[in-house]
Amino acid sequence: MPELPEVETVRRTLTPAIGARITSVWDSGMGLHMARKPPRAALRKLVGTRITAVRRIGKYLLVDTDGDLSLLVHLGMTGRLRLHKVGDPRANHTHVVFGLGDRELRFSDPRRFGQIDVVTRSAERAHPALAVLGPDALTEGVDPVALHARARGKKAMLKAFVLDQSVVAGVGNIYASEALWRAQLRPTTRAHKLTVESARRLALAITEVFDHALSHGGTSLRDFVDADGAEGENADYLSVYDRAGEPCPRCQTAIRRSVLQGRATYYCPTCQRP
Amino acid sequence: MTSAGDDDRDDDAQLRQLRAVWVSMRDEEPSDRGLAALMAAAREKASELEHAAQPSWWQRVLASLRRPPVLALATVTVLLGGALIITQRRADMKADATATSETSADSNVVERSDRERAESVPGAQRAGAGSTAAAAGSAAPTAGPGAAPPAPAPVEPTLAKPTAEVTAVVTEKEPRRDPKATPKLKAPTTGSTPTAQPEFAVRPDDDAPAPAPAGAGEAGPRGGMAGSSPSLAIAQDEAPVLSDSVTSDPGTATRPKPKKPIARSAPPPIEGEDRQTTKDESAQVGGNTQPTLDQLVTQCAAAAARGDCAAVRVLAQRILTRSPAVYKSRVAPDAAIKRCLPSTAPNSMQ
Amino acid sequence: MITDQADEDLMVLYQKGEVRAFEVLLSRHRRPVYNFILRFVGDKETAEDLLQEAFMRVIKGAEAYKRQAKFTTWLYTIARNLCVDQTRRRKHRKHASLDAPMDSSEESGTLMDVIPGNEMASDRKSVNKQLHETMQLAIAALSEEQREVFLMREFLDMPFKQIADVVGVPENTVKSRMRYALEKLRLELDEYKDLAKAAP
Repeated sequence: MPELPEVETVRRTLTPAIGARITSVWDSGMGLHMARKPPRAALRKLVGTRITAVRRIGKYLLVDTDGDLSLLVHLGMTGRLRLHKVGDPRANHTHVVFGLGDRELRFSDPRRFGQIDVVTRSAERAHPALAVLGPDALTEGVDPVALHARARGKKAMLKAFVLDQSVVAGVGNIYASEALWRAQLRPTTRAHKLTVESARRLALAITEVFDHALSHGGTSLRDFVDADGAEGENADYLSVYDRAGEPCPRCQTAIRRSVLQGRATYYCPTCQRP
Repeated sequence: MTSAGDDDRDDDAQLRQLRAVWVSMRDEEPSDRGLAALMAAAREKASELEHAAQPSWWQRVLASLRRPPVLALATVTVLLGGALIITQRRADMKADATATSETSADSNVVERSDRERAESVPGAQRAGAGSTAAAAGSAAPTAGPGAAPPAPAPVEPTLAKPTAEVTAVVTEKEPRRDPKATPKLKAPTTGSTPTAQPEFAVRPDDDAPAPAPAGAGEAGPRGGMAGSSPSLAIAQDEAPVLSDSVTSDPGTATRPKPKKPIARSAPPPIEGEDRQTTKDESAQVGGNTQPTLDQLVTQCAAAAARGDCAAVRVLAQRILTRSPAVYKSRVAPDAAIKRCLPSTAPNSMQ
Repeated sequence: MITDQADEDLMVLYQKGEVRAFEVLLSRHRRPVYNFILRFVGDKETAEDLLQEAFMRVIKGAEAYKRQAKFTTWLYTIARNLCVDQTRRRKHRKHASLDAPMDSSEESGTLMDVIPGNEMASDRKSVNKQLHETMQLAIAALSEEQREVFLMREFLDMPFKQIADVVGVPENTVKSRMRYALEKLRLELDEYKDLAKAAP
């Protein structure tokens, strides 16, 4: 599932689309996420506008136009947003296509858990998807003091706490495991036990794992590709995720695999003490 | 995930090594066999669940009735109350219908009584009757002598010569009453205690009624029956009282003095129509419907406004008889009406 | 995002008719449940059938699901019960023999082939594969009661309390069965401990 580094990678590879005029929009008629139908009327408002910027907030992409409208995209679990040449064969499960002259911006999503919508830029934070987001881990950084304050009184486990997009926007399952390992914090520790020192370590760890992942083009485990279709290489650089049984890079203890809320969690039982 | 207390797996080195093996065992991916059928079943169930989550309106009503007993009780109470009100109104309407038909029959008796009275009380009554007749004559020119007693017309608060007791108010069909059977109409016999007096007995200190308006329904027939005393129409309701009070208990001044004419109030204008002249109103008497409670209340208020307390009392009695609820809500609170009513037991009459 | 919601919240959404919530649950749990069943019953075809049946029961029982109940407890109770019924229906219980062929491929030998000293693949993945197969057989040799506890504990990392809820026995009984399971595995694999040590 694309997380901040993957979405940021897509954003960077979409910058060639800046300046292009949206000449047409097509949709498959299938709703994404929990919507029964695509937001066709809203998407058609973008026709005739020119792309001025491509931004990211957490795991959301925003394609700004010269009007006050922006295209909002979330890749979900299997979504892809890619630039194609007109005439390239369309992949299965392509749901939205924006004509950009000699190119097309295509959104495909086999599982349809992604999202596409149009927001008014001047009021974008009022959109339900963006309203709940906390500070972006990359652009705004992770403030350890704020992190510690948020953790106060929280009974949720640290992993769930880190995955909460209102705490830090952009952390997903992979990087939660990675960051907690890096910070030497057990995923099952209750959030309210986070000390000032451990909050500082955690804040730093989140930033470091993201920087590390970005330098390798994001992590491709199954579906992720950037806007050019290239897979990320960060999977080879993960410390604990999907490395159950392998020795911990720090202490050689076999990495354990657990399941939290149906999602795999990896940790070292030795250097991530509860 | 295991908690710290459960974690006893790090103690044994051998076990740790073995654990490293099975922990590293990769999960296998299940095939897609059956996935389509599973999702089809999930969609079908989702559809059922969605419908189940939104019950139909009658199910919602039923569910709300079934829920807290208080709500159910409130609903039942409202329904029963509504049924009672409807039943009550139907009974009132039936009573109106009966009263109207009987009043026209009664009017014959009244006229005969009036005639008798007029014959027995010369002078004032005759004058009153005459004036009444005159008023009636002006009010109902089309109703000549010998005309059949028309149906009573609603009373209109017009200026009327105070030559007769209130008779115009007797425009409704009242159920035939046996004076003897109706205690409240029964006049106190000699030696009877004051408490036996009917509530609306006319008292000697009553204000002089305003001149009876012309055009009263009763005036029609009265007019047709020249010489009949309108006062006896009321007297009919209270006939035993009047007669008895006159004959048996002269000390109990419960009746208006014959010399004081009771104003006759003209029937209230029918909505949408211009105010009728007495002439026209009396012409309508024969074909009009029975006065409603509203009309009686209006007549009563008008009578109170012009000071015709005798009429007020009679009308108030009639309203109370027909609908104690209306009496309580619209007549008893009226200050002008209250002034005409006796101060004892204002709200009920037994 | 619906994909970020907790299992219990997804079930509540499904109870309101949102089929996508069920899809998320399915995508999360299909694989781990399948592997639990597979390691319990031993063959893929049966495991897939039971997997299908387990989720069908989740669909059919969706109305009855209570928000307070942990979804995984409910799900694995269903899966475990199906596995127990299945193994009892079997006419001949498959005994895991360490001398039996590991699989039906032509190249498979017996477990003895993987004992140190014999010619064996030296690369990591190969060694792991053999170890894993050995381990699978050892797990299959456990009694049903021990096996289910062992799988839930070691592969699903379930707390003992949750395992007790799934299996329907007291927590101490679960711990006891776990101890016996580990002891039996230790004995079964004792002669292969050098092999385990050799695993990279």
